[in-house]
This record gives sequence, C-alpha cells and structure tokens, in this order.
Amino acid sequence: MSVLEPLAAPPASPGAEASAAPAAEAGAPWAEVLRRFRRDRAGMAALVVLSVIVLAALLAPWICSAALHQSPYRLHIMDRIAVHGREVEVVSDDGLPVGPNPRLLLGADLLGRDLLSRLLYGARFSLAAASLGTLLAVLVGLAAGLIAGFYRGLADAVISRFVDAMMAIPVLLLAIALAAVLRQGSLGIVVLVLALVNWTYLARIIRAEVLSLRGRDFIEAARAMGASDLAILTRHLLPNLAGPLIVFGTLSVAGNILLESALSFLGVGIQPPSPSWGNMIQEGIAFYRVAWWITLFPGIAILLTVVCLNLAGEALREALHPGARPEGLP
Amino acid sequence: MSAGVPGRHARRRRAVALLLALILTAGGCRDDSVQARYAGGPALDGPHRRGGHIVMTREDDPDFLDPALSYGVYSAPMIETVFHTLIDYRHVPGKEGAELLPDLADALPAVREGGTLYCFRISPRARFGAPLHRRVTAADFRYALRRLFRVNCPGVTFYRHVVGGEEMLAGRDSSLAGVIARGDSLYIRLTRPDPIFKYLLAMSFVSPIPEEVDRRWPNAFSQHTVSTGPYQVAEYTPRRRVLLVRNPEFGGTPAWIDTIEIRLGVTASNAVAMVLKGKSDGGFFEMSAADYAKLRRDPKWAAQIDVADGLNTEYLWMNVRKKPFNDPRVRQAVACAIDRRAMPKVWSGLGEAAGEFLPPGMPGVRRLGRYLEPDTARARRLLREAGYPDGFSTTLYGWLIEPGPRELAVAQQQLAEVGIRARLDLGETSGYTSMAGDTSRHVPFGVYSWYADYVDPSNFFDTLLNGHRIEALHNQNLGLFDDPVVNAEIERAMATADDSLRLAIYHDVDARVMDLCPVVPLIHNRECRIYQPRLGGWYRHITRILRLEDLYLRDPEPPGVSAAVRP
Repeated sequence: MSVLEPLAAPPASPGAEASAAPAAEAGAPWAEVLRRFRRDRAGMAALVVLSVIVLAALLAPWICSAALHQSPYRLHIMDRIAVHGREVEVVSDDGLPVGPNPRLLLGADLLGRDLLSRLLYGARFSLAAASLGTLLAVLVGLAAGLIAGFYRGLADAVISRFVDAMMAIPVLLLAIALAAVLRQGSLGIVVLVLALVNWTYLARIIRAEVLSLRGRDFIEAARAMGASDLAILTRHLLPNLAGPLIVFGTLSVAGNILLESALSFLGVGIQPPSPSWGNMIQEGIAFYRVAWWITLFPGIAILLTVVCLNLAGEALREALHPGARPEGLP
Repeated sequence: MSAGVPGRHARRRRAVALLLALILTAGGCRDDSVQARYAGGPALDGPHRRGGHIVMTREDDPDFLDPALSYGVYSAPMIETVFHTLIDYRHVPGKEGAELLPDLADALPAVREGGTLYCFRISPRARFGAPLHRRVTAADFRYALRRLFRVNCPGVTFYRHVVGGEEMLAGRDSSLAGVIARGDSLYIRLTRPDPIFKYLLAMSFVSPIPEEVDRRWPNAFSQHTVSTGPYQVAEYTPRRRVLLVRNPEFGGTPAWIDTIEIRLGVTASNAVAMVLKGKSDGGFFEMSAADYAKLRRDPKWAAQIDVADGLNTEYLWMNVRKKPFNDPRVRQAVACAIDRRAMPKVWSGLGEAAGEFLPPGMPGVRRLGRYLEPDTARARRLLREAGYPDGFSTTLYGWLIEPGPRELAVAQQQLAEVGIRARLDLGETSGYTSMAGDTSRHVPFGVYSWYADYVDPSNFFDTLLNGHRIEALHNQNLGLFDDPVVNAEIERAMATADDSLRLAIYHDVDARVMDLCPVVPLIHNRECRIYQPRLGGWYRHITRILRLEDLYLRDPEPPGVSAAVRP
C-alpha cells in the first residue's frame, strides 16, 4: 500500500467538472509540493548535483571533443604524452597506464583511453539505461497495476500471482538470467532487463493504490455519470497515481544505476568498448592496487549519483506527502 | 636470476655427470644412464635438504589419475611424477630440456628398418610401487599401448601409425600387432617412418599399466594407481586434496621432498594470496597479468616470480572458405592493420609480439618477424585491390577471460582504422572453442591460443594448419585452411628424420603461412608463476611445466614461512 494520498480532495458532488481528476485541475497543490521541496536543503543540493551530472552526460560529446580533445573510444596504448616536460608512455611496456596528470585529468585506462571522457560517456550509458529502464518499468507496472486493481477478479489473480512469482526470484539472478537469454550487449537489452525486473514492484504499489481509490466517492460519481472504464482509468485514477509514480521513478533510477553497474561489472550489461560505470570498474578492478584511478572515479560517480537520487527522491516523497514523515525527524 | 636457472657450480656438476653417463652408456652399463640423469638435481642453487612437506594448490580436481586418460595441463605435473615411461626429457629449464633421455628403458631406442621399428630394453630398475612391488616388463607397456585404444585415450591418434593402430581405431582389431613384447625387450613397429614418434613415447600415455590391477578394477585405475615414478598417490579426496608420498620402489634418484599435498578448489587469485600469506608453497596455476603487474614491483616477491616461455602462439584466424576472408589480400590486410607491439602491453609484459606462427622458444626455430609494425596504407591498398574499397563488416569471436577482451579491443580499433568494422562477440572459453571447432557453424573470424604438447613444429602446423586434418567437430584448423603446398610440406617434414632439414622445411612453411595469412599471430605468451622462497628446484620445463621430483626445501629455510604449510 502506498503511503501517498490523492493529491487533492475529490469534488464534493459529481458533475461535469468532476470528471476531470482533482489533481489535474488544481495548480495550487503542485506549487505547494514545489515549495516544500525547496525547503529541503539536502534534496535541493542533490538536485543541483544531479543536474550537473545529467548536463555533463548530455554535453559529453561536446566536452570531450572541444574541451578535453579526447575520445572515450580512442586507444592510445602505443602513444606517448608530455607530462611535466617529460615524455611518458600512456601505457608502459608492462601494461600500466599513466595516472591523473595535467594532460589526462583522471589518468588513462588499461588501453590508454582517457578516463574522464569515458566517465562522461559512461554517465550517458548508465543514466540512459537506468532512466529508460525505469520508464519502461513504469509503463508496464502501471498498466498491470491498474488492470489488477481496477478489474480485480481473474485479472487480478493472474497478474498478482505472476508478480509474486517474479518477485520470489532474486533480482540480480533474474537480471543475469534475462541478460544471458536475451544476449548481452546493447543498451536496448539492458533497458529491457532493468524494466523486466522492476515493473513488478510498481505493479504491486499501483494495484494497492487503485484498490483504495476505486471505492472513493469521486470514482463512484464518475461511474454514476456513465463514464467508461477507460475514462475512469485515464481521467480519474491515473492523475491520482502521479505521486507514487514520481517517487517510485526517482528511487528506481537509483536502484537501476546500481543494477546496471552490477550487470556490466559481471559482463552481461553494456559491453565494451561502450563505457558504463559498471564495466569501467570491472575493467580496472584487478589492477586497483597499481592503477587505482580506473576503479575509483567510476565508483565515486556511481556513489554520488545514487546518493543524490535517493536524497532527491526522499525529498520529493516528503514534499508530496509530508504526513508520512516519521515523528521526531526534522 | 630465476630460481629455475641453475648456478654455475650445478651446471658443471651436471655436465660431468652427463659426460659420465654417456661414457657408461657407451660401455654398456645401462643402469647408470638412468642414475646420471638425476645427479645433482636440475637447479640446486643453494643449501638444500632432503625431506619435508610442501603444500601446493590447484583450482580443479585432476581430470584423471590414469595416465591413459589424463590430458589436463595442470594434471600433468601430478601424472608425470607418478607415472614414468620409457623416455623422459632432460630435467633442466630452457631449450636444453627438450633433450630426450631414457627413463624406464635402459637406453634410447634403437631405430631400425628405415625408421619404422623402435627397439627398447626395459631397465631392471623399473619397478611398480605399492601394492605390486614388482619389476616392470615389456608386457606392461604392450598392455598400456593396447589399452589406449580401448579406453578412449584423448591422445590415441598420436599412435595411429603403430602397426594395427588404424585397425584398432576402426574397431576391426584388438591385438595391436605392431607392439611386440619379449621378456625385457619391447618392439614397436610403425606403418611409416615418424621422426617425432620418440617424443610421443615420452608422453605419459605410454606409461606401463599392470594388467592384473586394471583387470581387477576395470575402468577404475584412477582409484587404484600403481606408481612407476618418484611419487605415489597416498590419498585423493575429490575437491579437497591429493597427497603424494615418495615412492620407495622408484629406481632412479629419489625425489627430494617426502610429501606433497595438493589442495584442490583454490582459484588462481586465491592461490596467489595463499602464497603471499605463507599458507602454500606454490601451485599449478598462472598468475594473472594484474597480479604480475603488482608483485613484480614487490622487492620480496619479484624474485619468486617465475616467468617462462610457454611455447605458445595466440593468433587471429580467418575462415578462408568464406567471403571476404577467402581472398588472401583481405587476410594480408588484416595482418598489416594490426600493431602486434601493443599486445605485450595488454598482457602486462608477459609475452613477445609475434611475427611468426612458431613460438621462438621451440628448439631450432628461427624468427621471421613479419608484420610486427602496422602498415595501414598497404592494408587499405590490399582491401581496394580485393574489391573492398570501403572495407567491410564482420564479427570477431573470442573469449571473456582477461585480458582477451582488451586484446580484441585493440585489434578491433586497429582494424577499424583500415575500414574493417569488426563487432566483438565474446563468450565463455569452452563454449567459444566448441562453436569455433564445429565447421557447420561457419564462424568467420576469431582468436585462438595454442600451447605445445610436445617439442616439434608439427604440433603447431600439422594440428592447426594441415588441411588434411580438418574434421567436422572438434576441429583445430579453425580457419579451414587447406593449402596443398603447405599440407605437402608439413607431411614431408613429418617424415624427415634429419632434424636440421626438418626444421628448415618448417621454417619455409612458416614463411608461406605468413604470406597466405590464414592466421595472424599476435603474441607468444609467457607463463607466470609464484612460489615460496623456501622452495628450490622450481622451473618451467619446456614440456612438463613443473617437475615435482626436482623441488626441494632450502636449508636453512628463509624466514617468513607460516606454520600452516607444515604437516
């Protein structure tokens, strides 16, 4: 059962105006949500950092070519660069890459590629996989939850038992199995895998929310006015599910970044040479004692992004439903 | 200096011993030839003692403890120390280790009848250990050779030229008429001269098997081993340990160490950690490039890392029956596009850029040094001439074991620079090799790595590039290369007894292979192992990897060894 309530009180009497969802017609509640969110300093700081990360990811091609003059794919294993007036090999004869230096700010990886460029492009892949995976999970989970909660009966039984069965399988195990079956590699497959392991959670939340909403007066009023099932689902129930959807989406992106990183780390996610934060860590993990920068910087990027997403998600949840904040917390 | 390299003093002692052995052999004193082989040990580079207990580690259980069935690389050190056979290699590191010496035979074989008859006399010192405690006879060898054809020995085709061998392979006969045992005399007759047959007789496959034991426990010799070597199996607990103890019946110089415990189920990375913590003395594993990069900078452990030539070539192969690789110019373009100098960097310095197919560590092999530096202009021109001015797209298959993916990423970029757009498809090693060896899968382009089974170029050319050896399944000639000139020259070399002439033919074959480019050699890999400072006699033998009987404990032991390795 979601902790969230409908965004606005349902209209007192059913009428033509009442057919529009309460939240959709009201601008004031969203302004209130925004005001409450702004008051959360940690949430705002997280949002700023996230914005910078997203912006850096979006502008990665321009930053790499115009500012860094580097490519995330270009191997410099046989090249030499000047560092502090001394010419050094980007990758030494015994395979060790050059560390952070003025030419390569975060150093090079084992194939002599600029780590900063790969980190920026990795953000594109990791964020894209996590966001699109969440979006797809939201679409599937929303549809399943709406159908199960609204129609109940056989549809509910089938969907709920299937969801139960899916949720009984450990997430990582399920993701690895799906990735192996669907053939590893592309962004699309990773998105599909992330969606397939995540939609069940949202379906359960939405089903519970719909079950609580479907008996409410404004739904009964709409039904009495002769509104069709589709109209009730899309015009009355859906707007009232915006809260759980937004919170689930925000927190799920954080979880999906970790899951995508885990899949890539295990070799079934984004495949090299495409960089993702997970496969960057995987590539450098064996060398962490002699080339620490290869694993450290992607690790920091994952940590920072996930912490910021969680902080922002928590702030959003609080803004949408301040009453859910436990007693004693500031 | 690696611990495997003998000191000057030890070398002199061995040279004197070898000279003595040769004189005595010439004079007909057969026993001493066996004795002399061990005189001084292979690498006594400091004070040492006889006795003691060491702990080694290994990831997998031994595939078998039956010499006819075992073919695992890291089962071999156990098998080869428990089961000796007619001929052995000299116990020294480097190319000198390729020299053959008599072992359970009293001399190297007399080869008669134009190279088709090998005559041995079994040494009176050759004895089976517990529980038999009896002399080894020629009949035990005959039984072992016949048994190879009965028990699906993985190397049985090596012996198909023994008279009756083809019939046994076809299931038409069970007598193997070419092997004759009369008392202590063993005669092996071949259908045609085979200069490398002596090397095949040094393989553990032909270790004598006592018929009475094999008949009493059919198909269970692994559980009822009878030793002919310096160690015997005292205990084998699957997934836990193998315990080897010295075999008192062994006729040669006894092994130095009393007991060797081999702990099973230890991964390579854990095995390195166990050595570093003093919980094991070494093991049957190779260090990763990452561990090597880290430990070679460590002043204590740098001296304990044994880097050795593995007689290996890692190469790209192309399916010469499929477009576009059916055109030699395309294959040459691939060869010109790749900068092999990058490969040793990928392997953390554990290897040499390969400009030839034969590994340079192979005795008598001369380097060709072809295509070492990239020539992208020539590669583009060759592609234009072949009708691919805009290059082409293909899939490059390989394995996920590090640094394989990085190695292929380098190749991928270098190929892209000349217009060859290769998508990487990497998988588990066993799945990939099964797929690549199945000709019906028509895999176009892949990577492969080959370590020598025995010290002759035929092990590379005949196995990997002879068109007459192409098989539908488990095929090793992955590119389906079938050049009549190369086939004929390989077979001519295999029938040539003169070593220098044979090597000259193989040198020409190597040059023609590099011209036709069915394969693009990338690197000759080196193997890298680590062991405790207290352990002496550690070296990578050219074919035997590690000779357990040559290991010894230094006296006094260097400090820093944990009590955990003591019995």
